[in-house]
Amino acid sequence: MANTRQILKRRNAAAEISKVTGTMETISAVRYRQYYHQWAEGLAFYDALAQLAFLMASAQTQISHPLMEGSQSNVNALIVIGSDRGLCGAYNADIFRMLETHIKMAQRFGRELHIYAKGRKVLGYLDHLKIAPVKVYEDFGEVPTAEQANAIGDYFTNEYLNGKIGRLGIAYNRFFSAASQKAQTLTVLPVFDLIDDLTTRATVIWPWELQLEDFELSPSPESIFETLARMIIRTSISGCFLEASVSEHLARVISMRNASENADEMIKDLTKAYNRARQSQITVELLDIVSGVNVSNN
Amino acid sequence: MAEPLRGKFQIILLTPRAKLLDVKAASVVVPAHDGQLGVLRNHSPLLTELGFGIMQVREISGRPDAFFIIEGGFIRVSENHATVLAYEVTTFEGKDKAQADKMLSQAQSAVAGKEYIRSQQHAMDLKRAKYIVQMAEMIQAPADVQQSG
Repeated sequence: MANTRQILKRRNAAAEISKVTGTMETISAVRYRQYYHQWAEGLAFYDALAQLAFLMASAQTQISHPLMEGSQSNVNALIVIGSDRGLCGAYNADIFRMLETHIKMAQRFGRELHIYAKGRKVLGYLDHLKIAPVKVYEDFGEVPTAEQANAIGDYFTNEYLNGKIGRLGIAYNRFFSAASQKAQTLTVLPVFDLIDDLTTRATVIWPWELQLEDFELSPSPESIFETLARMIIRTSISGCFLEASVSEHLARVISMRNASENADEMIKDLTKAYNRARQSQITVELLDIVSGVNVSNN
Repeated sequence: MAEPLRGKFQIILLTPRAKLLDVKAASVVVPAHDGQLGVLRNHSPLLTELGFGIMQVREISGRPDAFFIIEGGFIRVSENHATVLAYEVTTFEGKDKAQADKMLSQAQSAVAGKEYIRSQQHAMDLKRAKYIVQMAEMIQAPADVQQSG
């Protein structure tokens, strides 16, 4: 049987770990609630945007706009959103798997892949793959401000319009609900793919009986489309960052809760083992004393 | 007194951060990209880009009129639902008296040109400041004065 002191040491270590994981869980839980609230509040806006986009995309009269057409460029741009810190289960690993798929696909189809990275874990992995990111987003913590998201959106929209990039994807952990998050790539450019995704993701399916032609439009459809497209791109970019953060904190809450539970279980087992060891020690000592007394009496 | 408007319809104001308004009201005036645009009940389907200006929601069921400064977005009107999508919204709604007063005095000093002297960092966008002052006046003035003036 192990030494009582050894058992105590291990029990203290487990208690320490449980304290740390418990704290991390609490912090992430608070953040998760904040981000989740933000996400839930924005849903109605996304839905309304998606409905407008669907309306424009399904118009009978073709809207011709450079953003609607494909690009000749051979460059795939990819924003990869990971976390700065670990201890969040498979959160980053899922993103890395997605990233590898993109690298393989780009090689296979002979396209150039430009990676825009967010999160120290992603940088570490890119370093391991010996790929240099084109840009690293470091000027915001987890979720960009409205201006920063606009700047990112406008940057890519202009690159696309200038023919510098052919596609833009965002690899991130999408937040479907508290019970389900999944790594996925959202295609932002060309806009048509984005509208496709947006209209299928809208949580409310609109019983849409009107068509674009039924609406009085002002200004021209092309002009409205451009504003709308830029709005959708910006919103999706900030939305992706937000969803990634919601997923990250939820993943951390879950993994930290598991870790705390395991540590607590371990403490319980170790306490039992300690008590047993102590008891047997006492028994041995008692036996010693009793047999000693018996010997001296005889 | 102007005759109160009869029919009401649903007016919704959405931003990426929150749903700011979801009420039944008699009329809404929004700053379209080419000027003010008023919408009443039974308006024909409409999809219009918005500019920078004040959105006025009048005769809301069970509460006073609401005003918002909108900086670009869209309005979609169909089947007696007016949905306004906006990115940047400034409003007194949901703010207490002290906050609103502070915002207003800041705007007033910006309009008066004093803000430059105080500090460049907190200087408010002049256009927005003008609209804030105008919005405060709208809230105080009774609706019929507004409509005739």
